[in-house]
Amino acid sequence: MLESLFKVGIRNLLKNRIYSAISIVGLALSISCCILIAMWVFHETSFDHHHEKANRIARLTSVLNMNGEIDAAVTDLPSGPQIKQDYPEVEEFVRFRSAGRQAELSTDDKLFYQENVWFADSSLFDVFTYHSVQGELATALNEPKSIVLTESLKEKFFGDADAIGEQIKINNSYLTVTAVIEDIPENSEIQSSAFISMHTLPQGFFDVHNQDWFRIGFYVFLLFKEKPNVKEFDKKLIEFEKQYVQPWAEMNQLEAGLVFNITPLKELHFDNKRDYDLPKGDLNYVYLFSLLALFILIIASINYINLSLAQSSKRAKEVGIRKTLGSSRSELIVQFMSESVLLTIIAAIVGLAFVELLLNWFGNLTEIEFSSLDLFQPNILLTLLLIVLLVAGLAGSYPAFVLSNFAPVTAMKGVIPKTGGIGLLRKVLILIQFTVSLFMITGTFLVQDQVDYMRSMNLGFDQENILSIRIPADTSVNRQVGPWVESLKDDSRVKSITNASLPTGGGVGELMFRIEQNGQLSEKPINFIYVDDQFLDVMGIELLEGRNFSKEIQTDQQQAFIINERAVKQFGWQDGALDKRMQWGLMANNQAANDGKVVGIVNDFHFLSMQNELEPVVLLYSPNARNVVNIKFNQGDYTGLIKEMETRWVEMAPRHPFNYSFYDDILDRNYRNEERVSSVFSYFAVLSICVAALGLFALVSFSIETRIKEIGMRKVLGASSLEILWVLAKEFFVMLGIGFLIAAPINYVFMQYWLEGFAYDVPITPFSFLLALCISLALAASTMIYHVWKIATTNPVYALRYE
Amino acid sequence: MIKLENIAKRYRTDEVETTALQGLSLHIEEGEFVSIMGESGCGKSTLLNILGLLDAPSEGSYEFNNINVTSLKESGRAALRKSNIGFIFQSFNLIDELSVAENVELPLVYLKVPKSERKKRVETVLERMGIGHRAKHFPQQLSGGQQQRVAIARAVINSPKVLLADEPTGNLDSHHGNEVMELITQLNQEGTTVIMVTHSEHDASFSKRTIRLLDGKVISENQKAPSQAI
Repeated sequence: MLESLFKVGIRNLLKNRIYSAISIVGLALSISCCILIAMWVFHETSFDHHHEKANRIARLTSVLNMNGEIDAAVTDLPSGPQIKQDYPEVEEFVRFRSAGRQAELSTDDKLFYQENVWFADSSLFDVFTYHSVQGELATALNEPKSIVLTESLKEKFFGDADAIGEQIKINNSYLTVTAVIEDIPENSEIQSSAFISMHTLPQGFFDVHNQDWFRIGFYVFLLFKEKPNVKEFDKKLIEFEKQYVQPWAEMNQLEAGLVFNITPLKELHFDNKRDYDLPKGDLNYVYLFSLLALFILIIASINYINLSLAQSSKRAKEVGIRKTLGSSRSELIVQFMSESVLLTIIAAIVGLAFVELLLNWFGNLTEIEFSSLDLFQPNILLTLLLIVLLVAGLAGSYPAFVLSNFAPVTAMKGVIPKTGGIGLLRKVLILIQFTVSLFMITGTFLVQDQVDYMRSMNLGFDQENILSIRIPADTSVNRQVGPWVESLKDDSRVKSITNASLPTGGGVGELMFRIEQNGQLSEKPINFIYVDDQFLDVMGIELLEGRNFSKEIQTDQQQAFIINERAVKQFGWQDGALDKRMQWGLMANNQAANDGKVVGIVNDFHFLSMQNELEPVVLLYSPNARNVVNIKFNQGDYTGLIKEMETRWVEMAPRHPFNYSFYDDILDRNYRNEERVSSVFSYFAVLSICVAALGLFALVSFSIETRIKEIGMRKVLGASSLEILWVLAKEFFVMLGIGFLIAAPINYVFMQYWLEGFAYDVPITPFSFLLALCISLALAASTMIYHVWKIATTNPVYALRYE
Repeated sequence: MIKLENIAKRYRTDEVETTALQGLSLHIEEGEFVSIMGESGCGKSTLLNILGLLDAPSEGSYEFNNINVTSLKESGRAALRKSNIGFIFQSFNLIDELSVAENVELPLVYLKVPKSERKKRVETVLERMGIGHRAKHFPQQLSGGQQQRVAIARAVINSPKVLLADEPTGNLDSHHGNEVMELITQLNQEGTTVIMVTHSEHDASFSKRTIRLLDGKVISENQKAPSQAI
């Protein structure tokens, strides 16, 4: 029986080759899409699940309330050990502190700038699960000046050789390699290339931090004895704060407080609203992309259902014969269902092949490394099975349940009872297809609009022709680089040079300031950038009032501040901001290490990316800071100059890579997320419209096939091919119009919601909507070119003789 | 074998009601060969469908093989049908996607006959119909006469008590038509009850009894002397 079902199924597919191919290709494409998205979704939702104690681990965070709230992902140094001591349900804690954005690690002959190097407590390996390749993890971080390397970093330094006991230098001190661990999986919140024992940091560091509950700068994780109750523990943390932090704040006359809370490790990846956090995922995108995958699956399934419906009169005859010969209804249901399962399985196999082909491309798009082996993970296979069952069930149920119910006599004549139901069902399905496609095309345009808008906005500074070079912390190199940078100023191709603590547009630091307000000093966290006196010139930032920093004025380093217009407004200094008092490096009794006045006001510029609203910023004068050198070139060809610089660099600092990037590239990186959304959206949109177009093609072909007599008649009566096509196809265009009317408002609401996440959102204009409609109409029309030809070449006499 | 009493069949489409059969009574004994004739639209096919348990009458009673089937549901009719009745149609009604052997085998599949047994019986019946060499072909590869032989083979494979033929030669030339009629006659001689709807006096001449219908009623019945049969 099964064999015969299979045989008939295959033969039916082969007989209707074109329709089968359209169904299979459409389904395969959509299945491959779904699988790719499922892989991404599983990746996103599996963060840190691999830690054996994942259920018992939570991150401690703090909201610092000090004239403004900072909801920080980090917290202070003392809370971890104190909580462990006070709460028996807490078994262990581990703290991480970054060793710098790009830590400089070196051996005698090699040097690497390494991201994700952490100082960590020795309890690290009790809390989190890492797999040792060499060395004993339990004791690896017990001693100061110990370092645990990941396998790939170890290979960079030592190749295949044994690394245990080897020395690695960081910030002029030597560390001993005590263990090597397997590389951290990509789906880990804490990415790391090396862990250094926390006690490598100098005692003075601990002295300062242990006495200050507001020096937040550590990622702290707590290991509970059992899965923690977040709400209850957060309540306990309120008491904890009252017991320790409040008395300390009062003693130091600080009007501020902390609110501690915990987030379970497994939820951490989507906990993306905090400052100073590690790179995070966005649950909204998980939902959005899952929805898109579902849409595409629906579009492709509808193709299949519609083609089954279109062929149902042919199939009805078979039903009649089989019933006459004694087939029961259930046997027919099994037959149609198994055909549909067969087709879906074929589509799934082809889809998997597509996935295999697209895996690299998709990996680049999502910046996640996927391997073919990931396809065989149980959850992916389960998803595939679900898709097959869902699609096969949806697509097979009409012929299975409706056709099999026909009376044999009528069915044998191929006449389907005219209930109007089928026609309506088909129309509704096509309408859904068009609506979804239009939604996606319009969405693509709107997302792209927003990306273009952010890029084209005036940033308030000049980002062109600026090269940014990272200068090594290594003092011997730093000493050489200084004079060299000075000498570059004489080159005719160089316009000007500035040092700044960070490249603008790439983020800044935040410091606690006291500012003068209503005759009093009040505390406030404010963004800051270290600059020199050339910064404004190089960046093309305009000085609106007051003066720039000056080398001539000795006190500028401690006593001069330049602020932007936004700061003027937000601090309520519209009556005159110059000479207003500011402090940082705060000490008790209104004392501060740096106490001075506003000397200049500059125009607002976007030191953060355009996703964020413009914020107040303070420029601090630091003529000697040389983390980053920004070189502004004159217009013209400067590639030669860059080559010369590199050659010179290699002479000066042979072990240090010449790290440079152009400003506009740095800024572009800020939009990578939106770019990604935009590209994923556009790929899906193109795909969905293609699948829908395939379906349309098939439906019109089918309608020509079944109405060949009518076409012949119309031809005999003098109709042109286009007129005939219009009769057959006008309903599709009408439905496209209706689809547009449904999709447009949904798009509008949806995009409004998406754009709310941006500080600067592009106004939604009808243009994108109309463009999407025009493209869909053009595409629909172009699928019918073939049909016009087909009708034109149909011999009316043959058509009339047909049947 | 077959007893129809006061059968009526009415079709209703939207607001129009058509009467296909009206007060029709008919008795057919086992082993008979009966032709049903009449103008187009006289109700011949409707009658055949009711006889074949493909359709239920609107009124009257139908007794098949001493079972009252008037009020049987589709599933009950299907069960009786698959083991007792074979069908031959004017348009052959073979399934294009199945090979000759598979088409012929189908009734046995639905009767859940084991595979090896099916194979044997299909071979035998195809040989008998003279199309054994065509077993692996598909219907479109055969001539009309050959297709109708396949249809007959399929109709008789489960040795039905009754064979219903609806214009079995309607789509065939006279040569192939005669061959088909001879086959049917032979089956009748072997004991199968045959009921045939036809337009053709020639075909009807093969049968032992001819019933003429007009407007859904029997208007005449003539019994042929046994010697007249070929």
